[in-house]
Amino acid sequence: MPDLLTHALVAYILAAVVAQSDRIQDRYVSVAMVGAVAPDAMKLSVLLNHSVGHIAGIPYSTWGVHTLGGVLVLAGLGALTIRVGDRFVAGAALAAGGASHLFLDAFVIRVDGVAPPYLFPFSGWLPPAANLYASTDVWPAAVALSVAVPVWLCRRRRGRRSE
Amino acid sequence: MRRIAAGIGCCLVLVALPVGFGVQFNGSDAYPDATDIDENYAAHVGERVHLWGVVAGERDGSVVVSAGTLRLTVSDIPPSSVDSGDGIQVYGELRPNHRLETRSYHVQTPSDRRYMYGVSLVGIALAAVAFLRHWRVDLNRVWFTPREND
Repeated sequence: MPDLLTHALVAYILAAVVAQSDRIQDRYVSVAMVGAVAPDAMKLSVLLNHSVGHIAGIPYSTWGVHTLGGVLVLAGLGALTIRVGDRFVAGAALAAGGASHLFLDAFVIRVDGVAPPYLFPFSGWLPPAANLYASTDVWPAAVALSVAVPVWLCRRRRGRRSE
Repeated sequence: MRRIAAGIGCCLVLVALPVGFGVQFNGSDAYPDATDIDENYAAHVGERVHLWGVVAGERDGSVVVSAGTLRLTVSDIPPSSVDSGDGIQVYGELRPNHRLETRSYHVQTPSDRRYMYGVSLVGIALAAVAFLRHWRVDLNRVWFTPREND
């Protein structure tokens, strides 16, 4: 993964572009940002050294949550915490944010040249790793920030003009 | 009621995903797990592995990498290029006597990781603040609802 600041900023940029359309309200931009950081909730198990193991002889890997299936389930769970009238669009924003997370993760350096099966459980395909950046590189966040700040300023100016 | 049922359904799938992933990928992405290798090293000799470990030191001019309980002496990584405690992602072929013939590797220093965790916390805070600027908790309905000006 790149760092979560990069994930949140890229989701902000993408959602802000979509929110230019008057049919999508600004409040969903922040929902997409939450969706973009959500897949890494499983990293807590990595930090605690319990991401892979066996329970009663059955193997498990919490990396299964860091997949398209996990993104959709987390989006569903998150959408249930939103009021009924906003639930569908909020769920879609969460899923889109999560999908942007997986897309960015496909560019992380993997020395074996293979990215994890992000499409699980729909497919076990191991995509080739794009090997563009490491999760500890500074430049992805710097690039994301250099785009997100002008986008934020434009949106702010537009918001003031419409008031 | 329907919301609770949907929530329970989502939680069940959320539990099923790690199990399904573990069963399909044998507890790792595509390679034997470090613990599995360590438990029966001889059976894995000749296999290609991708390990995420830590530089544990140096032995006879070669770097020693540990991943869980597994310790391997790895080739082709100059000891001068790494420090003990560095995180290392290494790909290569297992050889007898706990040696790994390295094909490629990538090193992350503890300060690299501190940056990653620090900036990630900023990212989480940014997403949380952005969300709470537009949404508030409705305690009566136990859900988030848009703020009045949204």
